[in-house]
Amino acid sequence: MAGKQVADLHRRRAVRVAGRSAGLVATLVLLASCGVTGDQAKAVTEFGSSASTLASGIKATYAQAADDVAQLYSEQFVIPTPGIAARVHAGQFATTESFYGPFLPQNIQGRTKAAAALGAYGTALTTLIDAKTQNADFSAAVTKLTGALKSIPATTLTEAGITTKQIDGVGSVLVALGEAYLDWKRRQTLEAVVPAASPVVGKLCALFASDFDPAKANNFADKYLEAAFDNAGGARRALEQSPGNLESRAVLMPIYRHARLLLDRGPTLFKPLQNAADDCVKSNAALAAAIADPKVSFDDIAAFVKQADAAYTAVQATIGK
Amino acid sequence: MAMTREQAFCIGQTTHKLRLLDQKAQTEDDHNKIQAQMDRLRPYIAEAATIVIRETDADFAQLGNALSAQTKDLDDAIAGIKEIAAGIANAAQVINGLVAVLGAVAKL
Repeated sequence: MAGKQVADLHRRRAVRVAGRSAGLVATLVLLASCGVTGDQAKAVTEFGSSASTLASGIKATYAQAADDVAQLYSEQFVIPTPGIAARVHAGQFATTESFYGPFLPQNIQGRTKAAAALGAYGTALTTLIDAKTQNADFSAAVTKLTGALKSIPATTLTEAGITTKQIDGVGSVLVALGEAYLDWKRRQTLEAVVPAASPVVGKLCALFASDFDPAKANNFADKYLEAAFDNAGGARRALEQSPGNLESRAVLMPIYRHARLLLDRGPTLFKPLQNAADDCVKSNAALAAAIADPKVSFDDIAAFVKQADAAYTAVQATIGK
Repeated sequence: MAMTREQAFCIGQTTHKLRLLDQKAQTEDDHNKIQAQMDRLRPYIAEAATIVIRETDADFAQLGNALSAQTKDLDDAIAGIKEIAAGIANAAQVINGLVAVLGAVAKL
């Protein structure tokens, strides 16, 4: 009778341990299969880095263009044309705005802030899927915890029936579970944020592409080229009207040359940004598609098997015996 | 009289076309004709350009604000992930504190 009770006790314990092992492994498998796939991570990385690079380029170009146009507008002071005379008469050159022209900082702050927002979004996406750093932080924290547990006096640990080997086992389980959990959290975040942000990002990138299109009227590139064209034409006409005046030529020639330089350089300055913004529209659409319809690649399967195997081994080492 | 939005965009369209025509112009006479038209618009170009840039800037501001709100959700999630590691590290500190006290008690 006593022998049967002991046998039952062992059987129930075995079932209980097996149940706990199976439950933990099932949890890990579930979490691992819900993590960020390789295709998604690739799409996020590609979009994140291209968005950040585009945003930096846009901000630098807006600043450079604003400087160029400020110089063009200040040069208009010395181009003797009827238009300038009319503006002087109207007192337009008495304000800061007259120096900056249309690119006065407060007139383009929506553009610069939007570029900053695009850069921040790209950086945040890249940081979110930076599993290496985040998992290393998590691993270091678990190591610290297991170290702290081991520093509990040996007598206390013995009284509680805990061995240092068990503490190591718990650490392994925590790391495996934690990494799978973090990956699941990343996927959840991407699935919540990307579909909501994607239409906004698409419109914003299209708007930047349109703003830098040298062939379009009434955009940023056009206003830059318009200012250069206006100065080049005004200086050229003034030079033609006073061919013998060397003093006038000495002043107007550099202004004409500067305006011509910017007029010729403008399209090569804006075209790469227009192309990059067009690419941003495409990579944003690819990212949204990857998040909406994840395809599990062979790399994902290999990574998943490795993760599940590590988790299973860790669980077995701790409670499976 | 203040320039309207429509007038500003119309002036922008016209100067844009004049610039494109100037690029294609072959003779000095054609260049001069184009410049003569630019001269007529010149008093209004700066004001029109400012209105156009201000008007279009509002679209950027609106989308930029909407994107910033989404980025905040990402930042919150990243902070949440960091909190998990921080929570464990904090637990380690608590245990270390307890161990220090237990050690002191054991010596008594």
